[in-house]
Amino acid sequence: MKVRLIVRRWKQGWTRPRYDVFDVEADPEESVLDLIERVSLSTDRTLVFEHACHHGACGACGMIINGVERLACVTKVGEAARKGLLLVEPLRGFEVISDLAVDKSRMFSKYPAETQTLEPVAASLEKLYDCVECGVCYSACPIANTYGEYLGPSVLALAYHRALSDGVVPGSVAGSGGVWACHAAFDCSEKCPVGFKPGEKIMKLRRLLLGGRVKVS
Amino acid sequence: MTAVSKHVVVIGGGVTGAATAYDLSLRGFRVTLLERGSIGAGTSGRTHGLLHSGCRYVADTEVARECYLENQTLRRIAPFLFEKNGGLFVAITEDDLAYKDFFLKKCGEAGIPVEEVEPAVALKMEPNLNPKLKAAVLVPDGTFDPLKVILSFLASAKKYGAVVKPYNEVVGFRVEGGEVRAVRVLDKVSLREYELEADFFVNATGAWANKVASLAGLHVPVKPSPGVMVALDGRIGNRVFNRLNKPGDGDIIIHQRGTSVIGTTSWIVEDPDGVSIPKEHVELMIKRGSEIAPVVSRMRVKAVYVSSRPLVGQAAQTGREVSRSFAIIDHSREGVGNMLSIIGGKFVTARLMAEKMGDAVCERLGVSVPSRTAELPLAPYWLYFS
Amino acid sequence: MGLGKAVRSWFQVKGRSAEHISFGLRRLAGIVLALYLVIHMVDISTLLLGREYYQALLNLFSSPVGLVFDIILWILLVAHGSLGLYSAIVEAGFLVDRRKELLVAAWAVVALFSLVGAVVIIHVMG
Repeated sequence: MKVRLIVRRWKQGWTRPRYDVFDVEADPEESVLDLIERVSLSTDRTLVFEHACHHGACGACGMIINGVERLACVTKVGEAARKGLLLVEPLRGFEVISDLAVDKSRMFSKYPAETQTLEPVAASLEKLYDCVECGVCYSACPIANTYGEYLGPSVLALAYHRALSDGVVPGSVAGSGGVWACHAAFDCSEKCPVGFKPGEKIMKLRRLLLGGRVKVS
Repeated sequence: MTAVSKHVVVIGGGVTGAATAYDLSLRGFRVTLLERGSIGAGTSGRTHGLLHSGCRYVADTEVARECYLENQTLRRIAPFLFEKNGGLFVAITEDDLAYKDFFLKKCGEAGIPVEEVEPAVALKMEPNLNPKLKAAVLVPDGTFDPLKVILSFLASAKKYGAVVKPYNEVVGFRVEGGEVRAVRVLDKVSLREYELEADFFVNATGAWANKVASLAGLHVPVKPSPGVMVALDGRIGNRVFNRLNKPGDGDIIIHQRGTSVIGTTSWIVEDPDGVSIPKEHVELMIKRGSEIAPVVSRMRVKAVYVSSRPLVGQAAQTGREVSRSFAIIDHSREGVGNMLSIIGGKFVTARLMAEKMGDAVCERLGVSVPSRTAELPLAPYWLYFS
Repeated sequence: MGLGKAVRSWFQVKGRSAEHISFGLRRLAGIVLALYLVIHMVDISTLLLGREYYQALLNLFSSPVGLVFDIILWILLVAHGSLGLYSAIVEAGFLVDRRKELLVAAWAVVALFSLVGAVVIIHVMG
């Protein structure tokens, strides 16, 4: 199918972004990431975008595709394109490094030192949390988009899991940028590509805190 | 001679480059890592995430043992990165079954602790396995998120002063008097081209190693070998599912987070950029995957992708036999004395590859500081971002 | 966070879910109602200037244009209240896993009360 790929470009020093148009032939079954990679290799090597696993497990390729936050590697061109048009922009809520790549340090720098990465699934079996740390929830969240100190949906959701397993959460979670800054928009849960339900977990964490069932360190 | 005064540029931000940057910075070198794309944009970011027990390669005892020892080391230095649930090798056909005794014997020779389990027990452990399985062996496999492992190595490297520059592509080398003086780099974030001088250069670009080396007029005998992987929407098990037989196409299903990935195939290409995915390979993966776990044929395919292994070509007889699974290419034979390339290996042996590369760099620069990457815990990946 | 950037993000509607837009409307309604409260206090204080001025304002408010504004204000009040009740329930951690049904119910309440209120305003004041 014929696709018009429009990419928001920005380089250090530019005062405003530029929208580049690439008219390409694409397979409706291929992923938007494949398309972007092909264009970067054949047409414009300066195209900056983040990607790693190509199968929805690492969270690197979060971007806004036709207005909606998605993981580009598991978004099919045929399904996402509107009348053959694909507009790709970087995630909101983060500083843009260049083009489609954003600086996710506002999210990762909030991880407490004792962050757990694994949860038990059965006796002596474990699993990495479903949260792939893509940052889509920050882009979707109206609070994260306006309040820089907000810990953010994924960090708070992971804190909920910690509350369940250890009965304690770091002080920042109960502070001004923590669970109480959320205002129940739930766009995070709607956009989360792995169904991690951060919005619901923030509210459930509130109940734990109100009920005194979790300590604040 | 202390390492601190020497600057090493590592080209390649995959697991090999990341582990090398860590090993070198831990020894006291000043390290700059350059990656043309984002971290893990190449082969190792796309690996299906198998923490090898080594059992897949039991036919070569030395390679298998090397894998297993690195498996143990990684579990020790970064337990938080791995789903340490083990794996099962299952025999579906009579041909598979006939392989079992050889398999068990060679695992023993390699020193890998494995345990045969009754089919009924295997099915109880993993209900999605083919109910007609004839034999099962439990092995110490594990799984991981490749990007987070690479970021952990880089976070650890940064802790010891390494500078990491993604979106910085090496576009040329300045070679004078038998030495690389500098690399010419395009910073894609600012569209600025600049020169970076250093005392030593490590080409850790894997499948791209020859493409990069040829910019300096050098040659690396790497054979890029792509393989197709099919990711399914859903986690159908906790332990890695392996087909009990010689390594072949579609003989493994790896579960990580909420995804199960069937792998893989292999063929050789000239250029690792722009490899297209043969549709027959996808159909083959699903067919072979269903033989191991019938539920596969009823699952939605989330993604299909390909990445190129950096296979060591025949011509890699360098006299520098650090291992049979990977090779360090010495460019002094081509007249350049301060650059080494590294190819081959598996994700699980990256730390060892970095250690050997670190030893080689030290030898070249007359520095004697041992590697300590096997002793120290890895920094958690989120520290890369602070 | 730049103020300009923050305000511009409020008006981002494309691609936002129904949940996000409901949140935005609740916020906007709240702001308008707060402004209205201030305006209301100002218009009531015109009584200090004399009966005629206050009566003139009341005549303005009962004009057809005034009734339209009344209806809009009523809808905003009902929306803010109903969505606020939805928010109060889920933000305390109750019915969180049934939030979609709760949101639909909240909007149904908005529709019902808006209709009833609009009818009453037109009937009584028109």
